[in-house]
Amino acid sequence: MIESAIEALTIVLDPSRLIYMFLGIGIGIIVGLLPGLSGTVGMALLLPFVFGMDPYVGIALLIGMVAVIQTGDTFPSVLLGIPGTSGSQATIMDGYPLAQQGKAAKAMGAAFFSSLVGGVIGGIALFLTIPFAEPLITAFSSPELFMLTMLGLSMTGLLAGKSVFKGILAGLVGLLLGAIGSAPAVPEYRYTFDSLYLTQGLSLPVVAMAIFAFPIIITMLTDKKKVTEAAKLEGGALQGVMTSLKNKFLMARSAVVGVIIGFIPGLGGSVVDWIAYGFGKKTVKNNTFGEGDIRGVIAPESANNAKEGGSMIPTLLFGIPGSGTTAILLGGLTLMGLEAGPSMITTNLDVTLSIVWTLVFANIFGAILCLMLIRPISKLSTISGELIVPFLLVLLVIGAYQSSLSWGDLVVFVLIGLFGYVMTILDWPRPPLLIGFVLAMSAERYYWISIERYGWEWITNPLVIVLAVVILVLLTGGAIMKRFSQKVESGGES
Amino acid sequence: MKKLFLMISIIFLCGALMALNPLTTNGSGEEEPAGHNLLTFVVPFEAGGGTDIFGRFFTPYFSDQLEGNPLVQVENIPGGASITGTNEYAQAKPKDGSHLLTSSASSHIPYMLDQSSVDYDFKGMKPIIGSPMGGVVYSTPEKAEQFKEDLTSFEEPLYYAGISPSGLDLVTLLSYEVLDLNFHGVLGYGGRGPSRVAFEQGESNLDYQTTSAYNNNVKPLVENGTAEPLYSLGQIDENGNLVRDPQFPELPTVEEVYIDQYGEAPTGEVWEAYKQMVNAAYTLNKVIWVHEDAPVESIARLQDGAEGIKQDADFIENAEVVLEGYEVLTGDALQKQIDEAFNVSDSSKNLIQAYLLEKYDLDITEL
Amino acid sequence: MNKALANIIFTGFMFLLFTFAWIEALNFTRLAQFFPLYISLAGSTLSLVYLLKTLVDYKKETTAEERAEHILILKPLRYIGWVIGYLILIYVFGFIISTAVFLFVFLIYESRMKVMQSLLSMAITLVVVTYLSAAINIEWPASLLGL
Repeated sequence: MIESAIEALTIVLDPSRLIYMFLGIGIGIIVGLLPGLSGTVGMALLLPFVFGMDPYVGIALLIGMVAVIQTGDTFPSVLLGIPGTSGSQATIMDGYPLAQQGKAAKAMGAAFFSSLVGGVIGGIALFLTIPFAEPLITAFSSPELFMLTMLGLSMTGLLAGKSVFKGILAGLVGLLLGAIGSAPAVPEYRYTFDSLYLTQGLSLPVVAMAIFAFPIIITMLTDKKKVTEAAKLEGGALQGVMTSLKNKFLMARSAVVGVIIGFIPGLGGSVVDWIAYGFGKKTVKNNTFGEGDIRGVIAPESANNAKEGGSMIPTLLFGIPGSGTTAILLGGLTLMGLEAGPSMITTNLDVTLSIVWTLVFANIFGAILCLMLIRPISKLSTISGELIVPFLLVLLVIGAYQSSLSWGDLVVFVLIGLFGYVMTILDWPRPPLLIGFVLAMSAERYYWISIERYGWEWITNPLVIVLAVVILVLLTGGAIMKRFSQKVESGGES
Repeated sequence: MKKLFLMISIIFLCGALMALNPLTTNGSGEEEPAGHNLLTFVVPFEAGGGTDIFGRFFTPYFSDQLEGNPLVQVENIPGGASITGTNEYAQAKPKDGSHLLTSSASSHIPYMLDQSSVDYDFKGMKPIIGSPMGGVVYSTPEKAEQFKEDLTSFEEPLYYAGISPSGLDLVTLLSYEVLDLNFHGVLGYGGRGPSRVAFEQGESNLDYQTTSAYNNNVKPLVENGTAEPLYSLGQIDENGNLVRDPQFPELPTVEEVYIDQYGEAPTGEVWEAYKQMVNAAYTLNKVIWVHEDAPVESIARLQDGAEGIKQDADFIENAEVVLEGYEVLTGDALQKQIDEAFNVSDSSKNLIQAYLLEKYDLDITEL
Repeated sequence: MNKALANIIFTGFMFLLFTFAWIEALNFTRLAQFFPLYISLAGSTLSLVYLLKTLVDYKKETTAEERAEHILILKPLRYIGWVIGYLILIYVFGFIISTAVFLFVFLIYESRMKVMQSLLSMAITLVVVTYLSAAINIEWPASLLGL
């Protein structure tokens, strides 16, 4: 395997292919940078070009792009509090407060470096799991997948903020929004009000932008302020890099979380950043997550890049795409004359290995490129709101429209956006809503399949019990921690 | 100052002109005569799915083989499990032969079953090229042996993992009904990939995959002894008979399995409904159409082009992968096949509707 | 309006939303029903409990200082109006024309830019946006007039 890896390395480093990788990286960063455009759009854009291409060239292009989207999307998340793609929502939680304190450059330095490390770990993980992929994937049957969605939902408990009531209610709204459209168990349409648009359900990029971007736009205008009130931008990118180096264990831990969540087929990986953030919040000592703790940026950024490596495993070896992006990647492989399946580790092993190398290199180059862009781009945070907002709005409208090219996208954007705005001014936590929305479909699907297939027997599966214990520890631990912090607060220390 | 003003107005003018550019091309596209230089394939799915890949695969060949070498582009209109885009094609796209529709079984089945959201009629469209696909039902080696011995002997139901009873699964489910197999359908999986993994981990022990997925992902399982094919869903020939799948000549059809087990040929409404669904969903798995109202010469140009594509050596070579090695249908043969497939008898339709309602709680006329 | 009162109204809205959702869910078939029904029943109950709790809190312990914490109403409404107005413009006139008009008017009226500056910004945006659409195949919302 090592030999073939070296052989694949020479294939990847061939200058004619390297150019395509850089082209992919460039497009990936732009797509990540523009709010609303996600990997699916980037893939759809490149798809017409890969037809009949030499597979290695096509892979350099496609994987180069996929690898760095989660790097480039940090810019809007930190600078404006708007998720660049749905994979970097958790970065906002601490990245935006940091930008408000004038530490945008530092936050992004840390973010890009963690992205780099996370991405490389993801690539290595892909390489290392190739021999064990099959038993690992078949370990997760529907009951286990259901418990994993429950684990994801329990993160809402950690992110609920001050009021548990508000947190749970927000999560329930998210679950309800996720129930719009066709039911998994029977193709019956729910809450569609006779509109064909709603039969497909709401799309994640639209909901994510509505819930985060719309409120920001309005508050930026009403408060007539810049993102940062700090007169001078303090701290350079290098400082951020050093901070992430100091937190190397957090970085590695989050990357592992990212790989695992990306790897499990059926979870989709859209909650990777939240789960990594939640775990970080839980495991980092003396943290001030949510108020501008740089470690709250490191954890999700490392995880969301690592996820890509993890999600390649089910996509390539089993033909199970975990997300819209990987689904199109599968189509692209077909156009290049390749088929996903076990052949990817036998006859087409060199293709798989070249994907590993491309992931590693694209993550390194992408992060370096972003680090160089920090200085010019972070000036955005010093421009006053009413000058940025109109342009932002144009971008958001375009971005929202791309998710299904329908007017429904724009209507949903405004309606949910208004809801999100009210939540913002009344201090309702928004992350639980998003997590509920993302996991609604899987939760319903795997609950239904578990019951229909096994009755209630599945409750006693060993893995199910283990996951249940983990969830309990997370939830009760959270409550205890919260009570403790309340005690401290009421004791007069702040 | 004057210079600055001039510069700004030039930039502004450029902007305005560029902005107008897409408008003008849009506007004039509709006025062109029959020999369009821009053909648009409407694909009612997101980019990257099977139907999209199918459409994109054909674009260069349409460009090569059609008179005047038109530019060919793909327009994706996702939503409503392909119904949104197909409706939009039928209702709103120019009927001048410049827009073609790429349909698949996901639009054919709701059409045949009178799903209420369907606003298109394939009778108002002219088929240009059609392409088949196949499917293979398989099980675990032990169950397969029992199946071959006596398929009525299953005391415990076989567990079947499916996606949705009104999609491609319908054909497979009907094949079980034809054979009177004791099975329990668990429908709700996210796709054929997840349902195959469910088979691999033992959550189900009865599954089917379409041709390329079977060849890539199930054949290795058969080779290492964890899966065994039972039968292929078959294809419908020009006389309306169920025949063996050309990609799986060694596998029996449902009809042969039935004869083998029960000693007589299958008859009755379920059997007729099954054949009809195989025709519409598999033999005509994907079809490229144009509005019937398009100018005659424009339709003729497309049909001639399709004949040319069928003979194209490069096409035949590449079709091995993308079209899974099946031969495409064109011209009169295609028209005949379509007439047969989409003329569903009321009794077949009622039977399937009643079946879905009774067994899967699904009232398709209300969708 | 003060914040506590607004919160009560919003919670009431949530309660209505969940209640509507479970009433609607009663019409679904069994297999499509269980999930939305569980969720909305839980939401309905929980929001009612929370509503009562906040109502009691509001009656009991709102201090003058808390009541003074007002939230803005008119100002956000004005900006939300801008967003919706922009979308209506797009709906009628198409994306390019509306974007040009919206940017120009907004920049002059809200951002107090000079005419020249705002014209320039608008032109640059249009060029960038059309370039993007050509280069990375991005599409516009369709409009009433078909532009």
